[in-house]
Amino acid sequence: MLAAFGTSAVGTLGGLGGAIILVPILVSTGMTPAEVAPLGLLSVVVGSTAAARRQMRAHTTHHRIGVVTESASTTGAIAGSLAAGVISEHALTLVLAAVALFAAVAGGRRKGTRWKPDPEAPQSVVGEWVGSLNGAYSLDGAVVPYRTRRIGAGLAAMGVSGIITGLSGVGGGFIKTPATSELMHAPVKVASSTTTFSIGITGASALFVKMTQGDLNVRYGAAVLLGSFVGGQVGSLVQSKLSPPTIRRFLSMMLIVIAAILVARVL
Amino acid sequence: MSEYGTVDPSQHDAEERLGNVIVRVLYVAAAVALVGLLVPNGEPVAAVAIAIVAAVPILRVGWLVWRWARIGDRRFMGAAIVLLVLIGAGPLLALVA
Repeated sequence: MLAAFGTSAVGTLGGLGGAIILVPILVSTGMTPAEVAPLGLLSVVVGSTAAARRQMRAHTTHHRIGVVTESASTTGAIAGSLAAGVISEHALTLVLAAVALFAAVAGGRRKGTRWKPDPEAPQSVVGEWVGSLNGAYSLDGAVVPYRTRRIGAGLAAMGVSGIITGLSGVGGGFIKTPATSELMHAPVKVASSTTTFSIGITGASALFVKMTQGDLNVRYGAAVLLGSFVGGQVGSLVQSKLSPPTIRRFLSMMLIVIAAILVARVL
Repeated sequence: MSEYGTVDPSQHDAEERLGNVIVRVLYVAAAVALVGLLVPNGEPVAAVAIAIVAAVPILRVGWLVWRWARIGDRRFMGAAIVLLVLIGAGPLLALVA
C-alpha cells in the first residue's frame, strides 16, 4: 500500500503513471511479473482517476487531445498484444530504457517555457477549444494560449507507446507525456494532465481483461487501490503548485531513474 | 476573426460536476476496498471496489461523447466513439486469442 502511495504520487506529478515505478519495486519483493502487472494497471487507473478533479478544475486536461492520441495508443496496444513474443524481453527492456533516456534528454535540454502568457487573451478562452486540439491554460493568473503541432508525429509516437505497452505491459505515460509536450508542443502541464487522463483509459481496458482472466489478486488489488487513491491526490496537488520548468526537470530526472531501473533489470 | 478558439461555455461547470462525481465514486470505492481488506473472505467485496474504479475512465469517455454531441462537435464525438469501440475490441480480441 505504501509503495502504491509513493509511486502513484510521483507518477501523477510527472504524468507518467505509477506502474513503471511500482512494477519493478513489487517484482523486487519476490512477486512474479504476471502477478504484478494487473496491480500496476490498477495503480495507473486509480492514480489517473484520483487526479481527475484537481486537473479538471485547473482546466489543464485537454480531453480532445487525450481521445485522439488514446485511439492511436489503443490501436498500437492491440497490435502489440497480438505480436507479443516476437521480441525478446531483453531487447524490449533495452528499447524502453533508450526511449526513456531520449525523452529525458529532449525535455531536459529545453530551457524556459515554450508558450508565454498573452496579456490580450481573455480569461474566457482558458480551457480546450471546441473542434480543435488547441486551447489555453492559466499560469499564475495569466492566460497562456497554445497551439499543438505535428499531430501526425505525435500520433505515431502514441502508436509506438501503445505497441510497447501491448508488448511489455508497462504503461506508456513515460512516452506519452514527452511526446505530447516535445513533439506536439502542448504545454507540459497540459501534456501531463492529458496523459494522466489517457493512461487511465488504457489501464482500465487492460485491467478488465486481467480481471476476466482471473490474473488479479483482489486483496493485493484493494491495498493498491487505497494507496494509489491517496497518492494520486497528493501528486496532482503538488503538480498544481509547481512551475512548468520544475515539472519538466522532475520528469527528466524520473525518466533517467526509470531507464536505470530498466537496464538494471536485464543486466 | 479572433485568434483564439471558442471554449464551450458550459465546459468548466460540467467538468466541475464530473470531477465531484468522480471523487465521490472513488471515496465509495476506497471504502468498499477497505471493507474487502478487513473482513474475512472479503475478496468479492474488494473485486467490486476494483471494478467500480476501472469503470470510471471508460464512463468518462462516454460522458465526453454525450458532451460533444450536445455542442455539435461531431468530429471529436466521432473520435470518442471510435475510441470506445477500440476499448471494447481490445479485451474481446484478447479473450478470443
